[in-house]
Amino acid sequence: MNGPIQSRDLLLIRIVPVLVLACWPVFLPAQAETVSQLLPVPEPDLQQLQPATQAKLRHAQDYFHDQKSSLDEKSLGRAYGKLGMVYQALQLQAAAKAAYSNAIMLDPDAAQWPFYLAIYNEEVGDLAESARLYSDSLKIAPQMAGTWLRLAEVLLEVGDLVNAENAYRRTLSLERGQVAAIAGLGTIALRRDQYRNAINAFEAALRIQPEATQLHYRLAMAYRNLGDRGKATLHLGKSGKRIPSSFHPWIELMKAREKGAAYYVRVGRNAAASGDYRRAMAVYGLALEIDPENLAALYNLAATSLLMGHRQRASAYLDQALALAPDDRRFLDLAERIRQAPDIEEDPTL
Amino acid sequence: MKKFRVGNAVIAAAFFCLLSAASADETSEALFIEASETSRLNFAHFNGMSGELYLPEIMGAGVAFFDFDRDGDLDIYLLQGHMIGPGKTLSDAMMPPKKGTVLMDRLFRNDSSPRKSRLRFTDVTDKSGIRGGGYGMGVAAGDINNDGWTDLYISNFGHNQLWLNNGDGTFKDITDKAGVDDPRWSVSAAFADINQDGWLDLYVGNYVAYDMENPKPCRSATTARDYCGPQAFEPIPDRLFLNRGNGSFADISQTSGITEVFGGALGVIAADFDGDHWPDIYVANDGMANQLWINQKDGTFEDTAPLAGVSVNRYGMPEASMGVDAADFDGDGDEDLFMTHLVRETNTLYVNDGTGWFDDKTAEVGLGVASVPYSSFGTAWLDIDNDGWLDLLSVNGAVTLFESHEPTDNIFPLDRRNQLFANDHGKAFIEISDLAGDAFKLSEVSRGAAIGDIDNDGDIDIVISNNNGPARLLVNQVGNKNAWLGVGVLDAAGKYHVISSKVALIRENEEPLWRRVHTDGSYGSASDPRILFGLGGSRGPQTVEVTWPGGERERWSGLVTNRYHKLRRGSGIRISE
Repeated sequence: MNGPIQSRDLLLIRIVPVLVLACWPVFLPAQAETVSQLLPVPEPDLQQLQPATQAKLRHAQDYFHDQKSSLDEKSLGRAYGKLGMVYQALQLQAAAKAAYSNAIMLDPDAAQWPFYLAIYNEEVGDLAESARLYSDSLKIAPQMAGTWLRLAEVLLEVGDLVNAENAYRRTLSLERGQVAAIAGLGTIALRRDQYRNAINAFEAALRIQPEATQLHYRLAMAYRNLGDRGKATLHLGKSGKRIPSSFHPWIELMKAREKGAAYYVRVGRNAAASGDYRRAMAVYGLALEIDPENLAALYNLAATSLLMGHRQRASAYLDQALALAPDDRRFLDLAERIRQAPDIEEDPTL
Repeated sequence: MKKFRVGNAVIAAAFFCLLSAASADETSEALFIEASETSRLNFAHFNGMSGELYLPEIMGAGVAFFDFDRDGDLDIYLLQGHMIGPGKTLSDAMMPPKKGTVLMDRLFRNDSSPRKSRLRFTDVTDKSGIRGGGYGMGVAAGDINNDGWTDLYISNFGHNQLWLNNGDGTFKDITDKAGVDDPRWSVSAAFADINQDGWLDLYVGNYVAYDMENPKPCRSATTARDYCGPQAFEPIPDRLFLNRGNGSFADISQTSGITEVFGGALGVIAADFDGDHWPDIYVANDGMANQLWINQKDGTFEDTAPLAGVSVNRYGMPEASMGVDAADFDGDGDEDLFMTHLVRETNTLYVNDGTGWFDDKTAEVGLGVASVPYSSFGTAWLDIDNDGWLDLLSVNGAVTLFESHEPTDNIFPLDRRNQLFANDHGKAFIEISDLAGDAFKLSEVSRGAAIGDIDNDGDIDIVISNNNGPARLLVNQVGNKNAWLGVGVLDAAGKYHVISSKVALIRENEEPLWRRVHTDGSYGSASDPRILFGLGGSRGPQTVEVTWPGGERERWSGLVTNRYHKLRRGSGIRISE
């Protein structure tokens, strides 16, 4: 911002600031305006935390601060969002909240950031705000069945049965047989004293996922309220703590931050050692998502690509690694092996 | 939902009307005013924290409203802590007590003059002879020898104590003679006559086996050091003591069956949940399934909680139950249950169908969402505005440093605001904490809560005990704008309150209002055994019907409103079935 003005002559030096000040709202770059509204992200007291956690946090914070000044608005938003994921995965809620709020401001077209902020609000008990944020996320990414499910669960908790039912049904339209959604419809029926409908729903859910033993309790209450004490007692005996499973890729991505990149590099190596290169690639990719400068992940992605015969992809990963560590002997050796390897047609599914 | 919103508006408007009436005298502008300082209820709890994060230091302590000197007004007993941990001295305290503080439980005599509206308390602990030097957790109040003088059972982290009221302002420690000690960690206890022989028996809720010599280090999800949860320790079984009527008790814990299942008990309440006129016992456990001990009328109990629908929440998950209270909030004549829980769990309302089977209706009545951000402890059903509907009190305070979420310099950041909920005709509850006055804007680590009419003015007052903080006395400013009727339900000689009696206020064209004589419930606390009926605008003579334990019934008519009446057994008109 200041560079060009300093190079002007004295007249310009005097006039331009006056013009800029007079027209400040007009000339203020969009990024600067948005950036000025950003929330300060509280820095957690690392001394209180375990060394491994401290290391993960320091790494994420350092990476963010290194990148911060060079990023455009959207990329900065993404960087805030990824920092928020680290904080949220490590349960540092206040820092996660600020980071996500900034991400939403800077990168408003991304559905993940309102989604993650909704989870934060669930954690601190502001369910109305959580429902609003899930809805915001769904406006951007309406195909995310898992988000509809989370919205439904929050609406159920706040007692909005009509909209909870709609959200469960949207979940099922996107992910047929989703057990938690079927169970949710059963719970709504139970609340409406429609015990037969509740029983049908819970039994359907248990047929798909018999290990969801928690549903037996709800089933028992429905049978009890229908007057069938025998079946109620039977299902009470079967009830356990396993809840119906649900999968949301964004939650998995966020939780991966807690384990850290090194964990996924180890998992990837095990997969590669057992010959499952495709899984190894996916897991190394997750490590790189967590830590974009993780040399072990980049090296293994390159080496595994080479093992799978994808020379160009191997070169691309290796170039990234060499840019970060140009003198690393292992990378130079791998570069030589890639050069000597034959070209095989790329697998587009990777 | 829409219907509830309309109802909420009506309830809020009703409370606003009462506020306007109350503020007319310009001394009161809220539902309650905090009067501990002006009444000289000078007590500050000390938890002895030294940075080791011992679990017991955040779990105390309770408080009792009881009339120890039979002068017709309620006195207050407050439990104290002390330094905790091997070799710890006051020099290790992170938040030392005020200089000169005696780290023992305190008894405050109510010396308010009936002619003056000013409340006044005097610390009479030394004169009373009570030496409550344990690490205090809870208190139960009841007359164990039917002499008309209320006795106290003190639950500690460590040995418990039974203090017999000598009737001359002093108490005597009869724990050993009575055989009711438990050296482990007890919190809530309840007096009830479980075998209907006319003598109060004692149920003692025990928490977990905590080894102070070898405390477990715990960490929160952030990996920072934090207070442990109960799951880190083994729960210990409760105790049931049968009163022999001669000053001693028989330990029937094993033979009664109550040790067959147990969790870490924090809340205990006795009431007739299945309508057979025999007291049952509900035990609220921290993080484990709760028990509903149904009285088998032969000295044994059966846990019916799973089928009754009160062992776990509506999803089948055990919750961290803390405090509990039972009352007929919906006016259908049976005892419903409300219990407080940990942050991110809702508090839970179980609605009784009259037979001892319950449905979790927390969300339906609007009590769920408001409680999610709080860890709650003491609780009570109380008719704040004397409209005849029981409102709800929930006192809050966190249990982990992690719950603060926001970075803070506070070395003990467990403080939270307390909450009040107004009952909309038994169908919905609306939070009215913001209308309740400055006392409900305070953020403290609240644990115990007891209710009673401390100034005998016909409305219900509250005393709250705070962990590592001052006791708070909240004096009701609005209740007696409506008409009321107070009754003490006494034995034939008029000496002691007959615990577990049920009292119905008979109303024209309306269902009766049902209340129960009890002192137990909440969290480690004991409340006024007298019953206060809110009458709304009904100011004419009233009729009440008492159902004594066992089922006998008597009726009293022509009771003048806006005063207390003593109903002695046998002095009313007997009602046959």
